[in-house]
Amino acid sequence: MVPKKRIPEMSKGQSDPEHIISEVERAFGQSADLQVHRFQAGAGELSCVLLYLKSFIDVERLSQSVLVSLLSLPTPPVSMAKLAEAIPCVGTKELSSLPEFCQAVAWGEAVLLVSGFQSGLSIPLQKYEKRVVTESENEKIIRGPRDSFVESLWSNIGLLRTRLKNPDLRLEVLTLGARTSAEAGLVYLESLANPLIVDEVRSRIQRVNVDRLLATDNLTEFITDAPWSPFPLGLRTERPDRLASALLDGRVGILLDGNPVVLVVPVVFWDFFKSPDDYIENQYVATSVRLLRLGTFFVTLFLSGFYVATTTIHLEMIPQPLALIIAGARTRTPFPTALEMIAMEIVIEILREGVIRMPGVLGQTISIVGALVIGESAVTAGLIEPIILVVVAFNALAAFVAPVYHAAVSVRILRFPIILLSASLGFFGLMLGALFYLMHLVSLRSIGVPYLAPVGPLSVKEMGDLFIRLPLWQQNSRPSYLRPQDATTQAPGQKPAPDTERGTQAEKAPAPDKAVAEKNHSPAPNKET
Amino acid sequence: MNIERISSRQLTWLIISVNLSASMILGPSVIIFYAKQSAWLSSLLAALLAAAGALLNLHLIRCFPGQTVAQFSQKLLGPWFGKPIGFYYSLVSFYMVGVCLRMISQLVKMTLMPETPLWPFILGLTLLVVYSAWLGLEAIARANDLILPVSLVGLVFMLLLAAPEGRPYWGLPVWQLNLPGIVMGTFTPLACFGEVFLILLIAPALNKPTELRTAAVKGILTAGLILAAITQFVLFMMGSFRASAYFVPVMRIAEELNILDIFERFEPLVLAGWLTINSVKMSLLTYAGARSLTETLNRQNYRPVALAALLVLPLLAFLPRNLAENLSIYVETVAFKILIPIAFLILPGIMLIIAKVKKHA
Repeated sequence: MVPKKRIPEMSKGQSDPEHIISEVERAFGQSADLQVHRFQAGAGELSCVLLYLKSFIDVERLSQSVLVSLLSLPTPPVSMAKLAEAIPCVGTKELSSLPEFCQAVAWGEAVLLVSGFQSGLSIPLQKYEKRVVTESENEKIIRGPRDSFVESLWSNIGLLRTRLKNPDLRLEVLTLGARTSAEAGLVYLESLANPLIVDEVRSRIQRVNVDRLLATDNLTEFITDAPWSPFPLGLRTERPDRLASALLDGRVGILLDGNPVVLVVPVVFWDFFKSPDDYIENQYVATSVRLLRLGTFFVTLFLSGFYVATTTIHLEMIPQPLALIIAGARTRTPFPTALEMIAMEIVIEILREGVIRMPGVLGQTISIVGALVIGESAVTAGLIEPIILVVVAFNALAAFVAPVYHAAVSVRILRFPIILLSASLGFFGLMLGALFYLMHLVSLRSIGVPYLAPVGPLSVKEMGDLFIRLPLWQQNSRPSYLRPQDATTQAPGQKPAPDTERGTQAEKAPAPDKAVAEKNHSPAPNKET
Repeated sequence: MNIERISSRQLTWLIISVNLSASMILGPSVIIFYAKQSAWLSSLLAALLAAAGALLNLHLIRCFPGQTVAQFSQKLLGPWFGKPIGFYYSLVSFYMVGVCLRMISQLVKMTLMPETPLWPFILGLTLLVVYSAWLGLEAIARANDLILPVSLVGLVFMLLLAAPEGRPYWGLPVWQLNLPGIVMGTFTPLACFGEVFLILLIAPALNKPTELRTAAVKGILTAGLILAAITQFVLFMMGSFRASAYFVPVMRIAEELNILDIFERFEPLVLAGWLTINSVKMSLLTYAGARSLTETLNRQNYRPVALAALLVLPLLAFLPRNLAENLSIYVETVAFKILIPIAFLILPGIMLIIAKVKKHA
């Protein structure tokens, strides 16, 4: 439970600037960067005080815009509103309570207090170092836009708006974290996103009452549908194009100031196998790559277990020449296959973690040391079967074919129970583990949307952008499991053809669904549950 | 109480899975033993009779819309007679899961891991079905949306691989009206299809109650057609004498499969497919049993009962001393001749007559 703020409310008679200054100073604990600047303005008739954090404010603008304007006032203003008009800064706001004064200073605004006035003025002059927009490190694509989100909420909104030049784009800013006071932005397209989903996301965010929210991932844990699930129920992205595409599907984005990662909800399991590349490459390339990703997901999850099951329990399934090679390799190692497999998987995990934390040059060295020295030496020393090394290395590569990093990491952890079950109960154990995972997956929901949709519940109509990627001119509808207000994405007859044929196409194609248009403002519940 | 909803298509698919889970393994051998080349007629007749039985159940359900048998039996017969009926349906559901657990575990142990004790298989499966039942009907139906098509595709793939070795003339004469044999061959698949009694327990979950009858009958007839196809294929592959000599002829066919002489011995994969489709049935029966008991006891949350099944199911599974006893006494005699006919035909028939007399329709 977050402790209540210690800042007392301001009562009448306590609006004296000196009292406010002392309260703000007390709230900030005499912080070294808290500045109190006293000066006379309005031809010397106004006693003014500026309160600000010098670490967080553009001092140059403060001097040139605010101080100069105030000092050049010919006569004292009659009200705080009139005074605000004299300051050439947009976004000034009148404040009247002590918590508001403290919060404004903490947010990097300059607070102007004038003797004789009941209220103060906050002037937004924040200035902090921002990273320039660079290419995303974690979501690389071959072609397409290179920019990625940065740590500033407003820069990120700007990046989004450059892609969605639409007044329909809604941004709601909520303040989260009692001690961090982070601004969270809720973005969605009002004419597309289902209001029930937006309301649900908003209410879940508003319910969060914690003292720290430093990363988007922290927020994810508080608003997820299944907090104990190892599967990610929100898509974290650094790419503005990905967020824009998600919003155009009718999803909701959550941005957190100070974070370059945006959370997209609701998502389905299959979203983690899609990459922005899929819509840039042609349908054949995109489909084959997507199938490859799905295949590697199963490889990552089951290959180690399958190898352990076949070589320890179901040896009869292996062709004789291969069985002889495996048996030959087995004779040189003292440990059971399952133990070797788990040990090598752990080594790979250590290497992965080590390489991430190591400085750039060292990281490369360590990966070479890991791969060559540990692997090769372990085989030479007769500690590990060479085939296990091949399986583990292949597995490690396969795990990162998934275009979303955090999904890949989750899957890597889930291999270990499968290896143990396969080692003890063979294929039966492997199937048992797979069925447990399947049952868990089908029970999940992301903001109420079935996580395995459109496969479970099955909706064949939605399959055009799932395992395969149909040509874009055939993808006429948004995912129905998101229950968007407008289900159609494009006019009929988009297939490139001579004008005469296009006319016929448009006639043949079903007219933009009237039912859909009617349904726009009354989203029907999913037929399938 | 948490209201769960499934679509009529999901119900159809669930019924197909429930019907095929036991019949596709136990059925072909017995059907061919009695009906010989008319095995396909036996399968279809069994499906038709099961559909007729299901219509009886559906008629009863229509008299009490939105209620399960555990609820309307109390309303119809009063708590003294109604509650035992609710208990009976829970018992039959749990019993069927117990014998199924034992059969799968024993088959897996026999075929793949003869030196491993039985209890890890039973324990693993019990945990799986209780977990699935805990997650609820929607989750089971969604899992089945994935499991059933994948299993059927796997089955078709296996049949295609085996087809070149088949001798279609073993199926001749196709139209041999060996009536006593056909009727005898109908018994086992009909008993397997009788597990459809669980519509009495899950019918209120259908999101469009008007489609209940179509969904259920479609499911039973489709399962009958698939069973007929499997049986006929087994006949083509093995002939009537060999097919009836094996307990699980499909497994025997799988043993002979290979792809390019590299991949061979597909029995583990066949067993895996069978296990997955059975897991749906067992989960559904556990869910239905737990729900029925909860409603009989006038409780709201079925999950504590589902948890209690963690103890009950292994106990039931360990009752038979061996597979032979399990099949001859616990499955064939107790389940197929007593429990299922009572649950599927006799009790619904009696309740329907009483409902008609009391004008509940």
